[in-house]
Amino acid sequence: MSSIPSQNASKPLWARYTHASHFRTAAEEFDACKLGFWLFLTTEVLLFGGIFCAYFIFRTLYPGAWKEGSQLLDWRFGGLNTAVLLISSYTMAASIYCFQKGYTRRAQWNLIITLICGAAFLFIKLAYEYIPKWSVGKRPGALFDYPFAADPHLPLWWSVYYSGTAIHAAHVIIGMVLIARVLYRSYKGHYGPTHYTMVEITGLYWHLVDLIWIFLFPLLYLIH
Amino acid sequence: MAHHAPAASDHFDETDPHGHSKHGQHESHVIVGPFILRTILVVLLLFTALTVGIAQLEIAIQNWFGIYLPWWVNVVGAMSIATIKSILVMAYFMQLKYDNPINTVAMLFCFFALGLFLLFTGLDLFTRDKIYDYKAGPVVAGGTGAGVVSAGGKPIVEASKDRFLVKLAEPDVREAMITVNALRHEVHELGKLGTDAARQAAAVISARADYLSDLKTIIVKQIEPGELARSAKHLRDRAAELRAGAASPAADLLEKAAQHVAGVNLAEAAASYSIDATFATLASFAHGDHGQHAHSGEAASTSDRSRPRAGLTDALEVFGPAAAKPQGGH
Amino acid sequence: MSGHSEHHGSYLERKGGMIATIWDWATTVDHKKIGVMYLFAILFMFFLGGMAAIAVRMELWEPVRQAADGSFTGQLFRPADAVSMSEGNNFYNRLFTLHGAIMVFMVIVPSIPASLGNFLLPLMLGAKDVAFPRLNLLSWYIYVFGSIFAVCSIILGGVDTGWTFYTPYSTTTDADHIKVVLMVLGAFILGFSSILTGLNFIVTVHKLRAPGMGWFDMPLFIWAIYSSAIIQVLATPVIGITLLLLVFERVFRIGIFDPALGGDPVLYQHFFWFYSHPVVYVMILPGMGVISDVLAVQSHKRIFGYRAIAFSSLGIAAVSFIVWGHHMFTSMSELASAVFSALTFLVAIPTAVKVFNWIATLYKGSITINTPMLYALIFLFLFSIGGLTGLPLGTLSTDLHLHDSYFVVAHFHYVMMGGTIIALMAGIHHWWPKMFGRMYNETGGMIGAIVVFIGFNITFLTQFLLGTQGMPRRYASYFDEYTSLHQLSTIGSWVLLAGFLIHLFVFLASFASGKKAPPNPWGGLTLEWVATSPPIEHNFEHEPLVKHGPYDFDTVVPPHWDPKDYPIPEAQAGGRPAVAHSPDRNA
Repeated sequence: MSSIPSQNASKPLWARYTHASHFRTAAEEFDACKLGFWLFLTTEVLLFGGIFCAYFIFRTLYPGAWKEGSQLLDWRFGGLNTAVLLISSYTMAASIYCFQKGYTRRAQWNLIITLICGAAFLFIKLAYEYIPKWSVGKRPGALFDYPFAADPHLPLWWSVYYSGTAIHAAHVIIGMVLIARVLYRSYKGHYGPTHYTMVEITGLYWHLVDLIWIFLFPLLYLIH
Repeated sequence: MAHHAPAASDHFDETDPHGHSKHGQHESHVIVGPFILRTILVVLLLFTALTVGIAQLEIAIQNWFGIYLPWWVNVVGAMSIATIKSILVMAYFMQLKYDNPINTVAMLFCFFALGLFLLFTGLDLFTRDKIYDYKAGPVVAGGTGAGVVSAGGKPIVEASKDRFLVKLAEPDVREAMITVNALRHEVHELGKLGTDAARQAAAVISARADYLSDLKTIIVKQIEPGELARSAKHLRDRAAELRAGAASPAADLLEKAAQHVAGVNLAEAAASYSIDATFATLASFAHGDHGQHAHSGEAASTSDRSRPRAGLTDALEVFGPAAAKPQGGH
Repeated sequence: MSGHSEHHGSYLERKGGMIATIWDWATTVDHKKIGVMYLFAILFMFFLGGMAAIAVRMELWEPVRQAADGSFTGQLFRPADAVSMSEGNNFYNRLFTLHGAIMVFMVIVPSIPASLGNFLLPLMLGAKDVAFPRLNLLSWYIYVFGSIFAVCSIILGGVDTGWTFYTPYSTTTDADHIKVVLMVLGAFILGFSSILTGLNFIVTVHKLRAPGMGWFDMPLFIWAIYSSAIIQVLATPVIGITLLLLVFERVFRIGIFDPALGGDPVLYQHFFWFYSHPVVYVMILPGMGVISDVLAVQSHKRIFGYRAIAFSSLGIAAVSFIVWGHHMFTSMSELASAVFSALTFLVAIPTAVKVFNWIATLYKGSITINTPMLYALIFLFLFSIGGLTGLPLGTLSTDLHLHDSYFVVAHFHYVMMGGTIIALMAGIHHWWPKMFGRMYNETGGMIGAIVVFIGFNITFLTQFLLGTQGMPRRYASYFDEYTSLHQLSTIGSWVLLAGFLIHLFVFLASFASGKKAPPNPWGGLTLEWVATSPPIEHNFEHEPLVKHGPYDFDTVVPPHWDPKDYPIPEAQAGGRPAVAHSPDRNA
């Protein structure tokens, strides 16, 4: 650990990577990291499980409010955001492929596109959904001030909508921070064909963000 | 019985104590090629289009044929497609298909736990009024929704309406509303002319009307002082342009619109105009801000009164969806 | 700078001066140091929570009465400027909330997994460390950070919601949001610590078992930790979203838990108990693991029904997810209550499997009576009472009478304290020589254990009686006829305090002048006894190779056997144990 043999000094960082000493092999470390992260992903799914549960309960109790609420959302923005996230998921997976093959440049561009998609998602969400809706009084719970509600439980719909999408948006932001970190480290030469654990894990996180949206989109925008 | 020295310890593989990679080195480093990834992306996008399409189709069937499909058709359709999509993402993008099965097992456990959570919570919430008939009356699962937020002690949605009506009664808002209605009437009149110049003029007036009727402008920010005067000036300028181009009928109408905006006919119109009707009108606009449900039912029911009122109703039928450009790009 | 001593010295060895040592501990990724840091943090929090408990019991010494002239009797703790009885009672509410929140979120949930688990898991598996050492350190800091949030809330005046943060208490009481929000966020952050520890443990068990160690060669403590880690991972995120929604509810009044806005306060209870009931087993399962190991080692006998105990741990973990409704019998629908009541009885099966196997293990064992063994026996006694009194609470018809009474209080103290804390005490004594390389005073430890046992029963047996007679929980005042039982219970709490002070003294004495501990003072066969006491930084000189089961006392001579230290049982098949223990294959 303390000194790297001189013939290695010219190699990029990823080729010099040695696995942590408590693992037997790098493959075992990689496997362990993935298992650990999958376990973390289960916790993320269950975190959103609370939102899904609230949705499920109140949708069943107040179908009228849910029908009215979903009609107040524009599926075009939801659909657009779904497409944006799906494309970003693809570029994320493609970037892992490029790192595996050693096409570092292309991998980095893929990461950059992923970041742009993430930003686009947030922009659409904020500029075309949150701000217009909030400003006309379509707000959660006691903040509700929209005069044209037909169903008395409409505020609750907005509570579920804002809680769910806001927590999802927070995950998008965290994912973007992780991707930016991976991008930065890839410029330092940390990732290559034999070592790309962090890219893989960041990718898993990003796909989870996508996965949650795949369910939130029909639940909020399409089901009525 | 349970504990004996493992037989395999003699030929023990130091790099692989649990025999994970018996079936080949670096099992977990699977490379999923670009062809598969792109195919999956295309399939996912198609499924997204499909799920939107199904939902739209159902709405179309309702609107055109008046057939209301049972609620579960929509739910089952959308959720099955979402499930297929998520399986694709997990299997290929997240590489579960090629991965150590333990990761899949972890995910399955997670979905199982989620299922238990929903199932048992629902078991309680949905059966609050069951078993004992006498409870069915007083028990309201999930509460009444009669949230008291205003001093009047009304449910929150009612209180929102009250607040809105108070705002509507403010003079400038009233003025703006009436102007908007008048403008829409002019648009309708222009539509009857059918000439290019008339269409042009109609577009100008329509845009102004949209702007003025924008809920955000009227209710939240309120109309700025001088806004109506500016609109009138704008319309007069355009009228002058049209007159220069010898399109006089259209220009006349624009001039008329400008007069409306300037408030020439306001007093007369306001006299025959009730708050209720305004409310119904605005409701139609408001529902239009998502672009698909600007229906004129409420407005039509109260359409037998003043001239602006009638004009508005027609205009809504003709221009309703166009008037509902979300949050207009001004 | 000798690299040799750095890798082969005890993990407790100082790294230079005071500052350097503190820095070394603060930035360590060594699971043993992190475990020890957790242990001290938990014991400190236990002290805080314990003081709150003593205060609660003091307040209950006599009922609060207001005289005609406006003066009070029986209200020990109240603000100096309090003018009404309710202000003093409000203070009492904060006191028991403080006790409950600290004890649950900061003591019992992390107690055994985070301290003993962290220390022992890699040692027992023959690994150098947990799978993600830096994550482990992070979860320790998250624990500290979350505790600071909670302590800030307490300093600002504390919350009066009870540790469960039920709505509408948590959304309406107190004019300012900050105290409730801080406390709730504290619990939220502590949840993250719990999740990260849990997933770290699962991965470690999957990936880092020593060569030759199959799933059924793992010590039962590992099985218990593994099962509880599964619960931690699957249940804790739900409390995360619950508390987040609670903060939204509190700050923005979003209405999901507010009936006035169409929400449902009982939905909060569902959300809360979906986490908090499984987490009850996060609290008790590691304790059961400790007891399995302590009983087998201290009676020098192969544990009875290894697989039954191992699978019952998993069984408890599985069942834990479908019984949460029994906390809400009085607020749910009849159908749900009946279903949950029936399911609740399932828990009794794996639990009883464990208890019977432990008792069968004791049968014909070469039992050494020392502090850990004494505590293990106390555990069996107290936990059985706790478990059996759970049955009337799980039965719908009796629960309607006992719900929210002192019977419930006594029941969960028998399980949580008589189970988890007693098991923690057993574990601390059992592995004390391994952790700190010093023996403790056996006589002192046993006296402490007996005093704790007596104090515990005086405190909580009386509460069963109070509960059946109708005393509701969470009240500062009561009818006069409960006075004598309340006073008895309060006296018991002092005895309990005395018992723990004896232990504190014994521990301090061990640090100051304890005899140096041999590597294997009790004659255990699991891998942690192969390591030196205290272990070296990387745990083992060479990666150990497992050639026998964890409890093969009849066929294997324990490592580092010294006849003076402990007896070994005569082999069942006559003569000497057949296989000599070989700690590592390079030997």
